[in-house]
Amino acid sequence: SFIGPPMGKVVVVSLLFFSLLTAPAVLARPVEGKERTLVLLDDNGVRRSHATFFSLLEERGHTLTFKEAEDGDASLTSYGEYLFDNLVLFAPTAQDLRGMIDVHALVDFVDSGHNVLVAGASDLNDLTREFGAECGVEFDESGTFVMDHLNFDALDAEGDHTRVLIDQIATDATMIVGTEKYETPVVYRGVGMAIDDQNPLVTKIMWGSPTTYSFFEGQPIRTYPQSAGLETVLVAAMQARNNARVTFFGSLEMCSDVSFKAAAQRVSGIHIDKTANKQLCTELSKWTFHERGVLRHSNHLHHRVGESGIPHFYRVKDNLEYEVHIEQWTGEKWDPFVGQDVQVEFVRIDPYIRRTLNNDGASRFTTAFQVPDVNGVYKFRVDYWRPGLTRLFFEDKVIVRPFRHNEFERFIPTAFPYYAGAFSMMFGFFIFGWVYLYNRSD
Amino acid sequence: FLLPPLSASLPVVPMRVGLLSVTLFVVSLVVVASDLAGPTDIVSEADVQLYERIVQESREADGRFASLRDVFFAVSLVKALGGEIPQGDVLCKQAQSVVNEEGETADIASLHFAIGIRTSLACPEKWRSDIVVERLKEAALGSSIPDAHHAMCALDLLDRLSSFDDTELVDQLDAILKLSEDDGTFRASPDAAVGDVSTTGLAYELVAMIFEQAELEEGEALQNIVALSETAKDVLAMGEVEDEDYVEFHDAQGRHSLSTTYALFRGLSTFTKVTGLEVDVTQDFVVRVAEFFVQHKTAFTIENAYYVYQGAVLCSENPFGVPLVLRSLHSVLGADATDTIRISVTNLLGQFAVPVTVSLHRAFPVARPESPALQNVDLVPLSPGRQNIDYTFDLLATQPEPGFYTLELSAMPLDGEGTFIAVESAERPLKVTTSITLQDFSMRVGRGSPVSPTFPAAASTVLEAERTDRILFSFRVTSSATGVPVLPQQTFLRFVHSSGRDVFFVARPGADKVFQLAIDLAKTYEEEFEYLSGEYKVIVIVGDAFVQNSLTWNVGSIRITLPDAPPTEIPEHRPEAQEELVHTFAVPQIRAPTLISRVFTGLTLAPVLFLLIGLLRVGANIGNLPSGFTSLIATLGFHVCIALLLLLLATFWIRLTIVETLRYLAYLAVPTVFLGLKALRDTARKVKVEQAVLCWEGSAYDLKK
Repeated sequence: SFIGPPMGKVVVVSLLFFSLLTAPAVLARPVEGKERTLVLLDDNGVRRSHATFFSLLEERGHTLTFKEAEDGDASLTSYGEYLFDNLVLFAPTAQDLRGMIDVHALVDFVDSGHNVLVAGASDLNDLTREFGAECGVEFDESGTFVMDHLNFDALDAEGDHTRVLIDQIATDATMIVGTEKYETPVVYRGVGMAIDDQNPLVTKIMWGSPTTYSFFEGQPIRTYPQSAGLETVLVAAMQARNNARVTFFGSLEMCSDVSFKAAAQRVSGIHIDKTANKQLCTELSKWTFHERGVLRHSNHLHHRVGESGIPHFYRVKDNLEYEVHIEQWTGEKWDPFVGQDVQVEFVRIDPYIRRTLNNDGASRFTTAFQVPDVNGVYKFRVDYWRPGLTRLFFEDKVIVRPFRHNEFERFIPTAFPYYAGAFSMMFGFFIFGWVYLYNRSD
Repeated sequence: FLLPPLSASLPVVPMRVGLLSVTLFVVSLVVVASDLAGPTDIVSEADVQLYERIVQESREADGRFASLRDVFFAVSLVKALGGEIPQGDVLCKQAQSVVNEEGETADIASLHFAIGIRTSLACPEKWRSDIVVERLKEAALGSSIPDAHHAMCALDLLDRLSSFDDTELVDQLDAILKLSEDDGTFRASPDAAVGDVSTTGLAYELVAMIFEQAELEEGEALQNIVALSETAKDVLAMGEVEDEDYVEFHDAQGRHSLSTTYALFRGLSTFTKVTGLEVDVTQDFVVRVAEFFVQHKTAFTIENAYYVYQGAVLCSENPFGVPLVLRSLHSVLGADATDTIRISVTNLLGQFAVPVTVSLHRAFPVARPESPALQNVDLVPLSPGRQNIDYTFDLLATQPEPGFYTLELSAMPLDGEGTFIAVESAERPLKVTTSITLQDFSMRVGRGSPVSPTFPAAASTVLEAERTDRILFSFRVTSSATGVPVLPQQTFLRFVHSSGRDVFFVARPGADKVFQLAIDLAKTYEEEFEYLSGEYKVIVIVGDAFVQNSLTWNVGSIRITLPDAPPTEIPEHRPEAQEELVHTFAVPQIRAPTLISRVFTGLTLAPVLFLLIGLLRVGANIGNLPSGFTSLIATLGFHVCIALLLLLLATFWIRLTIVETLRYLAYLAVPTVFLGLKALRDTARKVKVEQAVLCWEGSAYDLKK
């Protein structure tokens, strides 16, 4: 599995291993035509309450197929072929899932490189909870809510402060949340999540303030809540090593029409005409469904300095140049990738050299270095893995040979006394031979 | 599918005496208690503003709408809301172009829209109505129910409904009724495969309109209308009840619940009003339909806004019963303030409906339903007069504890000005809040002196703690007004390290309602503090939903000294740039300076000079060089070969490879061996001769002696 069981380091290691085995088989897949997207709902009411979100997906080229989770006729595959490219799992409370979609089917779907957008709710069903666990996201207990008594929507003052205003968004992860600034908070009402900080595949996208916590409404807190403060995760994004993407948010309401249009008010009295829910949900769906943050590479070349062809082998201490072309999918076309931190490694079991490639702004990344003085079979390896971007991993194998006998340094000044001794001996021998053979003593 | 607004309020037709021996629907005061609590909300002023904003935002830069359909619904909605749509002339032109330019080809719906817009806006332009009226008449008597409905509505707007004779109308009635299915639905046209609910609503309204226009005598037509009233229950059974709250209907594709539900409810309502025939619409059903509209009141399109608002209007004027809406307007009650509870009873539009008696059966904490704070109280009107809609009661007099309460209320109409659906028992939430203060705060390390800052100041002393210490906290939370201890849900202590990392602990109340927390560093320094030594800022967070002033308080700092963390595992590859690696090449051995090498080279060559000088000094010569031609040639050749061999070695050092050197060596070996043998043999022979001569000369000397 690319995603595996939750939290355990053993599992993570297993994931890494299996992912590396099969990563090249599944490539990043930008949306270029009609994307087939299955929308699995609690009931048809969600289709109406989230009509704007779904219409936004359709406008971006998704062909949506709506199914109620409890209908029993929803399936991701037919005769071994996947019927959909993406899944919107908006069925957090459906209890009787009689269809062919279970946790294993969802994990297989992700393992096959497909993407899933998952919404949770306080009354969370086992399917969503277990799928989250498989992806390294742990939902809080059923019945709990994220609460914040200092950052709730004051327009809902009669409520239980579960309608919280969230400003903590990972704005540095622009690939996931977009580049546009979040001017207003997001209104969130739902369940909290926790992720393992050591899990490099899962990224925290939105989280609570220092006063946020997750617990049952109205019950005294006798044990430490599942999460409190900044550790209260509200939106988490997972990108498996095969570039399949899964995004979790614990609030189905977050992407509803009502939330998109909702006004809010901070406890301080500041009125907010429009929350950032629509912006966040749109950006999350774009990232999840590979409409952004997709890279592709081509033309990875290497040659000796001053030459142009790829040689059959290099000699130790050769000077070489390496280049690769990397482009980024913007949702409409492939543009030059603007990253400045792409690195190439020259690896013989372990990397001997790691260099950052220079980006010329026209998608060409280059560097030059000297081949190590250790012969063997090497690989040029580019393993570019950054939050929000699809992972690039490719290698080129080359042979590095040692110096030939006549390629060593020939005239070493330090050795001149030895050479002079040898040649003087030869010269002496020659002269002495004449004298010895032909000397006439009177 | 769409449903136009009612062109005019259809009058309730008095039953024709002797119509048939059917059950009559008597419009009179009927007050029936519903099992339901009534709708939970109204279409409020804020919702109306939202609808107006939707209309405004849907207009393009030039004032037009995207389609004639949008114009029609926008104009109808604004008119229903009592407003006036600006730039009406632009919209009139948009509608006029349909009639004047496409009058012969436009579909019936578009013609209806255009006429509806013209009527609503009182457009002054000239319209080609003659052709349009003929087409509408034809469609009104046609076989398509939606088109016939559009046409009848349009003709009604043009005041041309009376132009049909009874025969035409009866024939059309028969044609419509032939489209009914066994399940009570109607097909849109004879070609349609199945019936659907939306068409059924239109059919009921069409029948009502025909019934109103035609002078029907007792006979088959009236029998059919009566039969139609009896089959309505089959259609009503198709409604989907969502969460036991509301009922909704969908069209044949399972969509458009708002328009379909509105169409059916309006069709049945109009049918009942006009014919006076009872259909099986219960008051429970009306309440559920009303709840459906308020649950969908947050609309995002003009059409949906129109259907919600018109649905609310219909619920407030229908012949089956007007649901009363009982709402708690002020659901947050400050226990230490002078807030007043406001309970309002209105229709679905938030308007006065009827004088009522509002009673509170029970007011109980959600956590303890068995302990009501108040029960069996009649609410007091907030203002005198019959038009009062707000009522109140005094809960604060019972000094309720802060928290969530449930109010069990009822609203019974006092007198009969129509049919109203009473609210027998509705549960409405109420939150009683309070302000809090933190008192008697104390923190200490082990048996050290306690530090007791006063809110909101922070302690100036920085406490010191080590791995084996226990840090103890205690404080009380009380109501600001009464001083009574309060137990909020959130009582956290947050330790914030200077690095930004934080740790949370939960303070729990004891039996004396004093919150206490003991942190045993020996048990927490690994998992919670993660070996992180340094100064921690301690922040108390107290909050709850019923606390008006949830707070955070920086109480001071504690410097904690912990053991160093054990070596951590090698970090896994993270999605970030790694340090560049530079290969360290093998360092060459240290060499002597070139000058020294040259000096030693000179010293190495010195013996050769000594040899040459020595040879010259001892008189070395080559006087024994063979004198014979062949011997001389061979000797010279031999030594030339030797010289070439030595030269070859020098060349090998300078330039040649070993392979080339061996090849040249092979070439040189042959003459060297051949010439060497010859030269050395001649030399050896010459030496022998000379020795023999010497011997002979010696013998001759001896003999001579």
